[in-house]
Amino acid sequence: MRVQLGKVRPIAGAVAALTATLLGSGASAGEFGKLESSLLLYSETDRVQAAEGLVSFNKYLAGGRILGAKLTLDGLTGASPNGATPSRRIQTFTSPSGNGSYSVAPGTTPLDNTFRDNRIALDVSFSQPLDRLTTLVLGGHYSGEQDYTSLAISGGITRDLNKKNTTLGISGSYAHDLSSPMGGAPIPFSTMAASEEDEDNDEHGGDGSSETKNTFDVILGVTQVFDRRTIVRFNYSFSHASGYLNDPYKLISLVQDENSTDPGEPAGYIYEGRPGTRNKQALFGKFRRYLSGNTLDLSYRYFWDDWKIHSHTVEIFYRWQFDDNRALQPHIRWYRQSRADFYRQFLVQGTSLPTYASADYRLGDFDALTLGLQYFLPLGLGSRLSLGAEYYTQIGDRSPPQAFGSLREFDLYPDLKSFIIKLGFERDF
Amino acid sequence: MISKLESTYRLFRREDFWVIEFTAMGGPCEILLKSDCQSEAERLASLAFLETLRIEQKYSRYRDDNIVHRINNAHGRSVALDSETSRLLEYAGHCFKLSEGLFDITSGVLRRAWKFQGQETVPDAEKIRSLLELVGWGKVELKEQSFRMPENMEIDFGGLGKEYAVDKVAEMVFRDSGFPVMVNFGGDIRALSGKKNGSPWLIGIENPHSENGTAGTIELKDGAVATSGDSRRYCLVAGERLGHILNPHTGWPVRQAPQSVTVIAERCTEAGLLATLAMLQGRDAESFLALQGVTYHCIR
Amino acid sequence: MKIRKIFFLITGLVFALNIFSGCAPMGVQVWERDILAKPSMQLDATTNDRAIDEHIYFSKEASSGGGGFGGGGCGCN
Repeated sequence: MRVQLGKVRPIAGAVAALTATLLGSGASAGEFGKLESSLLLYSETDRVQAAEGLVSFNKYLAGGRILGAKLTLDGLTGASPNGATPSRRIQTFTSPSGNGSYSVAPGTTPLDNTFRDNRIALDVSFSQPLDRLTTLVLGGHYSGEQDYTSLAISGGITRDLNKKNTTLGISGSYAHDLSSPMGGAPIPFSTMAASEEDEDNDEHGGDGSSETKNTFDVILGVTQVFDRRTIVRFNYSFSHASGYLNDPYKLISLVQDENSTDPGEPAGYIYEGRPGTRNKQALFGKFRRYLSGNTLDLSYRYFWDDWKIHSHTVEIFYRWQFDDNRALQPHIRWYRQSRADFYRQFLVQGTSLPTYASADYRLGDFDALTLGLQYFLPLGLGSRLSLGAEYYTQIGDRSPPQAFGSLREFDLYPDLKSFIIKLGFERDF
Repeated sequence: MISKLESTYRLFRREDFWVIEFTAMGGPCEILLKSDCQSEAERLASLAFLETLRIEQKYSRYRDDNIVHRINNAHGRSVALDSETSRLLEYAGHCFKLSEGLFDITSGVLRRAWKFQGQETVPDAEKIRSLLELVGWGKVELKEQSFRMPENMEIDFGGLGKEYAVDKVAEMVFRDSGFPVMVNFGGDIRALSGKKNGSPWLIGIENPHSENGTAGTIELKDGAVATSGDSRRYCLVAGERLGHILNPHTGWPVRQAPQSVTVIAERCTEAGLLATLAMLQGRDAESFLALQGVTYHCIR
Repeated sequence: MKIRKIFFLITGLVFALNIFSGCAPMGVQVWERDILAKPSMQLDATTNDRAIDEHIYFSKEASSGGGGFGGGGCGCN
């Protein structure tokens, strides 16, 4: 900006941006707080149906502090695979509560449809700037359902560097979970009682006491501004869990061996048993870019743990912004998981039992795909609505090589298909 | 420029709005509020008046009990900053960089070499040279919560303070009440109407060449007007009329500067900044403003 | 899998060096943050949406973590 030479740069835009920051009038956020509420409807074909509602409110206090509270309610009904394999004959299982039993038709994946659960969760958070570049966040969590309670505390610090182009963050949490399965926690590998004869409900060794689990999590993250239109984030997370990690309701079919009269047919059912500790790690990267009004968001996560599970997650969002602030956002998520080393779809009678085993399909090999579309609509007066629909599917190995006998006739990993509807409402005060 | 603080304000009704009048920031101040509610107008008048006084007292260089005095008398030591002052100094620093040094709040000391009362002057080159050594934002050390500058340097919020007060008061009143408001402190104006339909504010621009003539009218719903230049403050050097805005690089008033520059922008602080920078372009004031893409009026 | 881990380690190091080196630093000036300030460019917005997604995937898959963290605390995995 030489006065004489006339090499003047246009700076009006920059001055406007700086002035907005100076006056604190640039933010379109409200002064007092923000309300967010959401509703989720989830439905798997022939299996689980769930509904979840959340309401959260963040109150802005003096000094840049923010106090937040969130209430979540969810309810689950429907049927979930209990881990057993299909059979040519009708199979009967004792229901987890011990009162009664249920049967499944031949050739179908055994689903436990006595599943009904309601959960309530409460989260509180407090955010406090320690100075202009550093923020402290503290949080607490409680959730409770009929057979499970969880309490957690968390804390984190973020620090801005390089004129706020770089943000470093570290956070940690500790959770203490209490599991009181209906009928008591079964001893791993103990046999499921064949019928309702077990009135004391102690055949499987459960003594009605509860089991605990402790989890420690740490996340390290860096967020970096690349240029005017691009921002990137990398995270590393580590989690250590110890205690009761089994699913108390999951079984494994003990099938007759190849030389028996009915190879592959179930001879009995035993409860699963997982290790008492689990160490999980993940590396995550996200890239967001502004492209003439629209935004592209790409992320990748690589996950691995000491149960030998590995997974890749790729997610892409593209937000189409229309002139008047409405937006349409399609998204696609691709997920591939490779199984835990103790994952077994069945165990063979007569062979020595492994130290750990689980037939929980969630620990197996599968690919999952999510296709979603979300629509954002501002309602005026600082309110915004969003509507979303998603389709989620999991595809596993329906005919694994180790299947033999009658097992070869069945789909040992039926596809999971679910439809999801989300409604969201936000309001600035 | 002595600021005369009157201890109170006047509130009265004119047509369909309330008028709050007082004297501050070195001149007449007026706030117009479109509302029918008297009690609200009274409450807001009090708040606006107190906020204006607060900013004036906090950033005036004539007082000996504020942060500016502490900074200017720190003798090279570090001074602790509150968050508002820290943000203002940071803003001044960014503007210094963006303007390549033309906007510099440490340049106030140069006024010791000049008198702008319309008289013929022979500038003292030696004095100007020695004062220039005390000018330069690059010499200060601004940290988040502290500020330090070499002994004998001075900072002066004169080029920012009034426009900043206009924006703060207008936004405070508007956020509180939602009423359309126009704040006018001696020609530095901010108007906020929100999205309500209704007539915009009408602002007349003065022509310094004639006592009562206007140079035009601006219609403003949401926006700001700031004027740089003062027809009554000038000096004559070798018969040439020079305005009172000093170039921090040379220590001299700008030659061939317009008599006044009026800029229209979204906020008063940025309008004022651009108007000051335009003046400093001297002959090129109009082309500078044209390049910035803002609406402006120059009077020569 | 080992190769993947090494790849990430290197990427992370290169990245970290870049941030702390200060030579040709990445980033923008304070007055160039207009686009980054837009709601659609906030990485930490839409907290409810992400909490819902986390919950669904946590109940149906074996992985967790990544984007941020928050209590899982349900008996579903």
